[in-house]
Amino acid sequence: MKYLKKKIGRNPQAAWQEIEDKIVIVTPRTKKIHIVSGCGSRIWQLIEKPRLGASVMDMLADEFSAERKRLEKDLEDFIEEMVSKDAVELKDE
Amino acid sequence: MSNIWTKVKNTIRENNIPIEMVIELTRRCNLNCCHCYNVKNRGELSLKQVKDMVRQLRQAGCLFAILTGGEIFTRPDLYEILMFMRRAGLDIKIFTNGTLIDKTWIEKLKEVSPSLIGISILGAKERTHDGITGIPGSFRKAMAAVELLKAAGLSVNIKCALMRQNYSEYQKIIEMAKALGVTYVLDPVISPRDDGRDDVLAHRLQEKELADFYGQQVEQFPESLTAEDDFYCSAGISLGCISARGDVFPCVQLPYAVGNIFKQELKDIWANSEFLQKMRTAAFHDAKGCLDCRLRAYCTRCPGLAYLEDQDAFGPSRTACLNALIYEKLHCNKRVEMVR
Repeated sequence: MKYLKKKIGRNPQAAWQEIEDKIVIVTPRTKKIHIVSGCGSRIWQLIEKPRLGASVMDMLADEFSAERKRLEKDLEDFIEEMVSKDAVELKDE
Repeated sequence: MSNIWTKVKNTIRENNIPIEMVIELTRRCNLNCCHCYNVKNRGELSLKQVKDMVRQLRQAGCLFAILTGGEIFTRPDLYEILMFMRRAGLDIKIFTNGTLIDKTWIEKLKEVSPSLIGISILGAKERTHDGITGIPGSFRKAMAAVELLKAAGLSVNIKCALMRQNYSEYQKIIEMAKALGVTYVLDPVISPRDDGRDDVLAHRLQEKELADFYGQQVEQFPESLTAEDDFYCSAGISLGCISARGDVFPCVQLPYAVGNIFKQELKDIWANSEFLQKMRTAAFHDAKGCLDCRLRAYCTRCPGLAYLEDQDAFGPSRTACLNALIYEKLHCNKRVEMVR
């Protein structure tokens, strides 16, 4: 997983709200609605304050019963999608 | 994506989550518009109260905050408020007369990143706009703000309350908005003042003008209109308003206080208000005087207008009755044209 040593945080310009088990995000640039659920909702909660990818990964592994490789893929996909929508920011450790 | 959003919207409606709230940050205003429903000098939320309100909004499930007044740019602490709301995760829309937005505001607004800034432009001519606002120079300042905001890449919407004074200019307002590359909304409904006084209704369009205006949109009418299913709007369900005194209303247009957020938590008010519960369960047959109306298929009844007109949110609205009559005529004419 290529983001283990990166700090992952929400873009403060992204508006969002938790609706039941989903997170509704208004993306900063396009102001479009984006919805995340399942593992993505949990990642969004975990990065309320910027956190190392490795730390996010460890917490997901503790909470979800899926294989670590699968969770790594989910985290990587989430980060890439959310960075492309400007909703998440990456910083070096 | 749209499927998921539809499901989330259903969840919001079924659980009465106030996802969208209109916030009156102040009743102060630097203009004196002749048609305004707003009774001036009726309170202003302090910064401390705003911060407490934001906490309550988030807890109740709000995502979209629409900031209005009065004129919110009269507040010296506005930037701090906007940034506080932004950091709290709220999506922000701003309604303003634009006259106090200058170059120094542009960088700040880019940082706040509101999803929309609605600016009232009440005429295509300076004389018309300034005549309505009562303040010379307001047109030039508002138009300058539109141009500055647009040039900064912010999303601008021209809002025009249509009335007798500016009706003849509405096509030019549309052309102006198109030329500027901004969206626009023209609203021919002038509401009574929120203390019930109806002197402002003298500015409303005449029936002939309304018919002409709605007639421009006749092509957008559906072939068969059934208002029964969605007779009630989202007011009091997923939409609400907090006044400049902290009162909670089902809608900015329906100033019936169902509680005050400085006496009780918004979440509790929203869940337990008997008035809101009645609004949520009301159906067409609960609207006294509407059940047997032949115009019901054309009815765009607004509970807020009904309340302001006759202090009964569950009764007919005279404005909606007149509009329904016009819609019916237009619809009949359209059908006749299609047969020909």
